[in-house]
Amino acid sequence: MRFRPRTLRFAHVLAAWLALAYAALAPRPACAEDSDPKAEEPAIRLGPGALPAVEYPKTAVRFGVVDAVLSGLGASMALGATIAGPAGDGPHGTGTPFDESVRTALLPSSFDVQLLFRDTSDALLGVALSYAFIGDALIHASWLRKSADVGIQMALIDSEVTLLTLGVSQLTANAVGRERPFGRTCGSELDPDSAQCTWNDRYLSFFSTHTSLTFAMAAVTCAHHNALGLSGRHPWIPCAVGFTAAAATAFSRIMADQHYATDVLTGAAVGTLIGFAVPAVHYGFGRFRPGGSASPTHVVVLPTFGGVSVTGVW
Amino acid sequence: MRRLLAGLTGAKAVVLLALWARLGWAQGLATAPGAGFQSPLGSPPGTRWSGGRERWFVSGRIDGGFLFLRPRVSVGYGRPHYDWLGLDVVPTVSFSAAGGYVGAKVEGKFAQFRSGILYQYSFNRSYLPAAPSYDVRDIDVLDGPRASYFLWDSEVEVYLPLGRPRLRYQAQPVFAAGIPEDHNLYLDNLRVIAGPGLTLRQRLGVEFFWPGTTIGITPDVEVVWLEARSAVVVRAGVQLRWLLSDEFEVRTTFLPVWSSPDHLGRASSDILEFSLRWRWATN
Repeated sequence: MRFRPRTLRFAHVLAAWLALAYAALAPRPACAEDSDPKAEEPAIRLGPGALPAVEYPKTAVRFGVVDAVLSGLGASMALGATIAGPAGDGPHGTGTPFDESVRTALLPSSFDVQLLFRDTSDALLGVALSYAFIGDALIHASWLRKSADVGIQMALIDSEVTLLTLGVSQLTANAVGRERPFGRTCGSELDPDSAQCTWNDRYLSFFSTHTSLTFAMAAVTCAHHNALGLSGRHPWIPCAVGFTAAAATAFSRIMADQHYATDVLTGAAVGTLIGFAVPAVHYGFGRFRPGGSASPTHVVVLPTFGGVSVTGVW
Repeated sequence: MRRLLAGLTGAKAVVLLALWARLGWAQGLATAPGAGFQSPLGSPPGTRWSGGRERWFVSGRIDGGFLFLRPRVSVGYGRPHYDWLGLDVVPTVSFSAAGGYVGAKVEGKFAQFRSGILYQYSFNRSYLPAAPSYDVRDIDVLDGPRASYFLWDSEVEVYLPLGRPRLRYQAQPVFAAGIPEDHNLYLDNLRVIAGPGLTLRQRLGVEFFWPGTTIGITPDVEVVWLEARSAVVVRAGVQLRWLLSDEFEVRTTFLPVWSSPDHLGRASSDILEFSLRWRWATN
């Protein structure tokens, strides 16, 4: 489509006059100076203090030197393992018969669909970590409940769980040096010069960091809500949602051809263990259950390999 | 099309934008809801930066999230983050590239404009031989020299009130230099594969705040025009902002690709990327 210069000039002048006319005639929004601030003040229902404040239990252990050392240890393990790189003599080629049968059953034939599952697993991991730190510790505890002390303790415990899980996962993955399942396609479906085939990441299959971290975040969130009563009488809801998302991450990693079944099963077990163990040390192994103690019924959420089980007791 | 573009970036557009930004009737529009409450994380939204005096300042903004940290430092005169004129410096470091952006910026109550030079050096990407379509396997191949490029990167953003909601329009023309002939390149800032010459990103959205909250919701449509490839990338989705204070804000974007000549997956989309934004400025 071509426009004549005269048409364009006319359009510009018209646009300018329309803009100025609008500026002059449009209803003027309220200014801070010329309006009663109380009358204009919007009613924010979902603001600071919208939910009752919570307190960090007096008998619970606060984040301390030992926790800082453990967090530093996790970070050092992850960093050291990454610098050292994966073992050169790890298992290459194919997985165990169990791994191969799961891969055959689940792997989509289309690369685009595999890519979709890889992106999904990345997004789920991002959401899991963001929810724990930003959603729960910052917005929920510190802002909505105006309980900054609880929010800070939650964030510190989350950090410890994240760094420990990352450290154990990276150290193991580099020490084992197992080739990812897609590695067998380098030179055929994948360009041998591609980043996927040339980077060390190709040999970090065992065990799945995505899976271990999402399970760890699900477990620690579950523990926080149980111990601090953040979900009232329904502490099982964040547990069920978290473990479902973690299970979806595990399946996505297999369907993206990034991991074998044994990688994600081990990741789920390690993540869940660390995710429950660290807060258990702080909160006292289930002694603090303000959300569940008043309820005549109990719902117990337990992680299982690649999923979660919900058991009701009444 | 070139004439239309020239019309957009021409003197008349600049004059209009300057008028737009300075007119008094914009007052209050940038004030977010929730100015009345006391935030435990700083000043109530829309009060700290808009209420200060005009001065020389150094300000900063950091967006942090899962595996990314995007800092920005600004030096200028006016009211930081609200109504000012100055320089923007943005270092960009990721697992795949490093570089930075330096440019001038004018921000008003109703519009903002920036223009500057962006340099990127890719660690694991080369220039791509011209092809009608690419997939994600193509962009992560180091075949030849590592790609490095300069961009003349400009952006205009205009807000138009529609009662309580406001219309937001962005136009970002980008001119790439240093790309060999018959080659294309993955642009990290626009998340598209473009050739030498112009790439124009335009985004249109309507922002509104959910009643009784400080949660801003913006349905967005984005069109990126790739001149050298005569192709268009269309993204559409939603952006969410949760204003916790004037200093802290949680943001997430879900803007998947709906139409594109390429299949780049997440390398071409914003999918549930959560970030915490922190802003500061000298007094």
